[in-house]
Amino acid sequence: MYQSSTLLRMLKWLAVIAAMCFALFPIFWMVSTSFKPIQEWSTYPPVWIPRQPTLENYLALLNPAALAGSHSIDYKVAETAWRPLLNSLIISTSATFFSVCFGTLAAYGVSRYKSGGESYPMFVLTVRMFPPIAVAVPMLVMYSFLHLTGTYVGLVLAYTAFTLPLSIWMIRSFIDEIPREIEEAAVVYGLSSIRAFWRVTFPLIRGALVATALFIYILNWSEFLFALSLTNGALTTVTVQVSNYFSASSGQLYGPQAALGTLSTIPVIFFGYLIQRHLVRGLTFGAIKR
Amino acid sequence: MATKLVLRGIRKEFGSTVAVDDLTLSVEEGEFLSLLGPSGCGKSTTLAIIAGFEAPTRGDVIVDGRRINDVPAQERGIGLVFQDYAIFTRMSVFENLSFGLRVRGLGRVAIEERVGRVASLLHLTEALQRPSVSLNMSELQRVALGRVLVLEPPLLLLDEPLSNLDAAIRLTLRTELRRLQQELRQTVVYVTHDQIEAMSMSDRIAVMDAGRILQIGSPMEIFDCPQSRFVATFIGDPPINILPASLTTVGGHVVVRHGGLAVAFNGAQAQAALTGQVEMAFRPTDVVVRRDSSSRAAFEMVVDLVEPLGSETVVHLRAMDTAIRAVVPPAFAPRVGERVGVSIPAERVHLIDAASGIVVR
Amino acid sequence: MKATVAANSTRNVEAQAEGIRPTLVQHIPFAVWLIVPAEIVLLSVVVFPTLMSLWLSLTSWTPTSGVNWWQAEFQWLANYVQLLFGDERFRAALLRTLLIVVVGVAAEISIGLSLALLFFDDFPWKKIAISAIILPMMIVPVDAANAFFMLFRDVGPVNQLVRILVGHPVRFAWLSDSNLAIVPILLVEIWQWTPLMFLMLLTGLMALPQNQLRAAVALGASRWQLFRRIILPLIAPVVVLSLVIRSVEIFKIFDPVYILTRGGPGTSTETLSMWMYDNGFVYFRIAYVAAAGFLVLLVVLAYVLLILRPLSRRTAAER
Repeated sequence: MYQSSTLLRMLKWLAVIAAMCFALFPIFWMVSTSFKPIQEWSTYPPVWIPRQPTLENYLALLNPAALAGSHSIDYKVAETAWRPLLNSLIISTSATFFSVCFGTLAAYGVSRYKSGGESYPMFVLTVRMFPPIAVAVPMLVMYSFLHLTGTYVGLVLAYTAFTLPLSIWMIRSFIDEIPREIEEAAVVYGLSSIRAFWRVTFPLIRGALVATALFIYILNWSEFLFALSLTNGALTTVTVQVSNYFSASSGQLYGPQAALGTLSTIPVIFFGYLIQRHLVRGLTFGAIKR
Repeated sequence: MATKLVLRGIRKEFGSTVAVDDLTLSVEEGEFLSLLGPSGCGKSTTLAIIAGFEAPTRGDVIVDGRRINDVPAQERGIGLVFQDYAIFTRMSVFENLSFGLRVRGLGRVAIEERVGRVASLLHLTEALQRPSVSLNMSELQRVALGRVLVLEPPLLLLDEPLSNLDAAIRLTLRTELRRLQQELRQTVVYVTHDQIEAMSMSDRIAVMDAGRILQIGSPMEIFDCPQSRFVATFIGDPPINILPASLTTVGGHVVVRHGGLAVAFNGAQAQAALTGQVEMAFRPTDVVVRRDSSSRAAFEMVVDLVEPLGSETVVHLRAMDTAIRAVVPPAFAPRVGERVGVSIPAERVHLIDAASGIVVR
Repeated sequence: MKATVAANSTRNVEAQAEGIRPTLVQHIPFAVWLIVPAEIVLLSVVVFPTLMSLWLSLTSWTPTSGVNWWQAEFQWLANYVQLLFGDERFRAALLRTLLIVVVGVAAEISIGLSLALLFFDDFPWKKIAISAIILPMMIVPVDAANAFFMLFRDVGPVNQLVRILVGHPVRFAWLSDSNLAIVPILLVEIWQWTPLMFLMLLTGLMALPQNQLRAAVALGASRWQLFRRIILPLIAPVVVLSLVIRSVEIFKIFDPVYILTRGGPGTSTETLSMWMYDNGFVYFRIAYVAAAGFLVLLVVLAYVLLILRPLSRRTAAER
C-alpha cells in the first residue's frame, strides 16, 4: 500500500532474515549436535558444523550393539529408544482417538443442541486454564489408589481428558461452519438426527477432523509433565527419555539427546506443516480462523 | 476550462497478463467522466493507478499539469470512494468526516468549521455524533463522500459506489450524486459496469474492454455512433439487433440483406463495406413496426413475444431464421402470432465489418 | 429447545420402529447423550481429582501419614493461611511466575506484532519465510528446552557470540548463576511461542477490511497514523485474545524450567508449577499443594473472566 524506499526495503529484509535466523538457530544446533562425535560435544570454542560427522548418536539410540567395542561412552542409562518411542506411539494414538471421537460427539451436541447448556463450553475450557500440575497431584493419589500409576490406561486417560477441551472447541468451530439446514433437510427425508449427522455433516468435516486429530496428536506426543509425574518411572515416553540421557562417566550425553530430540521432533514438524492452516484455529480454541 | 487529469500511454502488467494497455485519456475541470466496461476490463486497475495504489508499468499520470507517478498515495490528495464505502467502523460520523483533516494536523476549530460545512451540504449535521455502524445506505454514501470532500480534492474517484444497492435506493443516490457534482463543479472519474448509470450521469463516457479504451464521447455519441460492435452491444437496453448480412449492388444502390430484411444505401455510403463479410446493426427503438404488413417497403414478421414495460413495449419478432427486437409505444399493443410489417430507416443502420468488429458506417 | 424436542421425537420413532420398550435411558434426551462420553472422562480425570483436592486442601494429609486420604485430619483453612501469609518461597514463586508472564507476553506481542506487520505486504519468498519463522512452535517443548540448554552451556555458542560482540573473553554461567538463569528460560518461551503470536496476529491482519485501510491511505494517513488509528483499533480483539491465551499458557510454565534449571540454582528460577512439582512429588506435601492449586485456579479464572467478558460482549454487540 505504501511505496517503500530502498533503505526501508533493505531494513525490512534484514529484519525478516534476522527473525528467520533466530527461529532456525536452536533447531540447527540440535540437529548439528546429533551428528557430532563425543570429542566435539564440549570443546570451546564450540563446533558449529561437525568436523567428523557420525551416526554414532543415532546408533546409540536404536542399535547400541553396533557400537560395541568401537566407542568409549558409557551408555548404561541408555536402554534403546525403541521402547519409549513405542510407548509414545501407543499412548498418543489411543488418546488422540478417544479425544477426537468423544470430542466430535460433544462438539456436535454443543453446536446443534446446546448440550450441557450455554456455559458448558466455557466449563470445559477451564480444564485448560490452570496448571496441569495442580491436577496431577490429586490424580497421582487417585491413580495410586486405583493402581493406574505407570500404566497405559492411566496416561491415555489423562491425555484424553486434557486434550478434550481443545477437540471440542476446534471441532465445534468446524461444525458451526456447516449450515444446520442441510441436516434438517435430511431429517425431513426420514433420517434420524444422528444418522443425518453421520451421512450429511460428517463427510463434510472429515478433513477437518483429520486436522484436529493431527493437532491433538502433536500435543500428546509432546506432553511431558504427566509422563513425568504419573508414571513413577515405570513407563517412559519419548519426552521423558530425552531428559534421561546422563551417564556416570560422561555426564550429560548431548549427542544421543540431540539425536532423540531430532527424531522425536520430525513427525511433529511433518504433521505441523500438514495442518499449518488449522494450527491457529486449534491453538486459539477455534476463535481465530483462516 | 483547464485540463484536470491526463493519463498518457498507461500500461499495467501483472506478471504476464496485461490489465491496462496503452491507455490515454484526459479529463477537464468540472467534468464527470465514466469508465464503463465489463468486470475485468481494467477500469478498476486504472482507478488504482490514478489513486496511487498501483504503479503503472509504463506511462504518465498527470494531475493539474504535474506528473505524479512518484507521489505516494497518501500525498496525492485525490478523493476516493469505494464500492463498499469503507467507512471506519470504529469511529463516529464526525470522526470519519474529520479523519483526513486530523491526519493533516489541523486545529480543532478549523476541523469543526470545515466538517460542519460539508455536513450541512450533505445533510449529515444531525448525524455527526452517531456511531458509523448505525447508518443506513444513503447516509453511508454521504459519509464516504463527505470524508473526501472536506479535503477539497482536485479529483474525485468513485469505484462503483452504487452497485451494492437495491434498485430503488440506487435511483435516488444516483440523482443525489449528480446534483452534488454539478453544484460543486467537482471533477469526477466514475467507474461502473452499469451502462444506465454511465449514460444518465456522465458528461463523457470512456468504454473499456480488455484493458483498452474503445471509444470516448458524450453519452449520446456513444449511443448513436458506436465505433465498434463491442460498444454497440454494450450500450442500450434492450440490446441492439445485429444480423449477418450480404451485400449486393442494385442500380447505383447498395442493398444490405439478411433473409428478407433489406436496407438500401446509396453507393457512396456503403463503399467501404463492399469487401468482406458484414453485419447490420440497428437499435430496437429505430425499428418501424406497422400493422399493415402489405406495404411494399415492409418486411413481414410474426410477433413472437411481447414484454410491456409500461412506458414502452418490447416486441420480439421472427421470420424464418431472422429474429429481432423492436420497441413500440404501449398503445400499439401487438398480440403474439400477429403479422406485422417491419422496416428500418437506412440512416439508422450501422454496418459492421464482421472480421474486425469495426463499424464501417 | 426446539431442536431437543425434534431430537426426542425422532428417537421415539426409532425406538418404536425397532420394537424396544421405552426405558429410563430413553428419557434422557439425545442432546445429553452426545456429551456423556466426554463428560465421563472429564469427571473421572479432572472433576473428581479436583473435588478430592478441595477436600485434601482442607486437611493435613500426606501419603506418609499412614491414614487413607478420606480419613485425613480436617484443619479448615490452615493450608491457605500458611500459603498466603507464611510461605515466603511460595510467594516468591508466584511473583516470579507473574514476572515471566508479563515479560514473556510483552515480548511475544511486540515481536509478534512487528513481524506480522512486516509480513502484511507481499514480497518474494514470503511463504518460505513464514514457514521458517513458525518452525519453533512445532518443536516438542522438551526438545526445545534441551536445545537451549546446549546453546547456553558455558562452552555453548551463546557465550561465543557474546564474546564476539563484547570483544573480550567472557564466559557467563547462564544456567548456574542465580541472576542469569531466568534469561534462558524466558528465551525458550519467547522463541517457541512468538511464532504463534505472529501467526494469530497475521491472520487477524489479513482479515482486516482492505478498503478501510486504503481509504485511510487515500485520505492522507501516514504509516504510523494508519497503524495507530485504523489497524490497531480493528485488531484489538485479536490482540486481547492472543494476550489471554498466551498469558494463561505461560502461567503454567513447567517444561523449560524443569529441563534447564529444575528451579535452581537454589530457588532462583522456581515457578509455580515447579514449586508444586517439588512439593507434591518430591516432599509429598499433597494437601498443601492442593490448596495452592485451588488458589491458582481462582486467580486464573478471575483473570480470564475479567478480560474476556467485556470482549465477548463487544463482539456480540457488533454482530
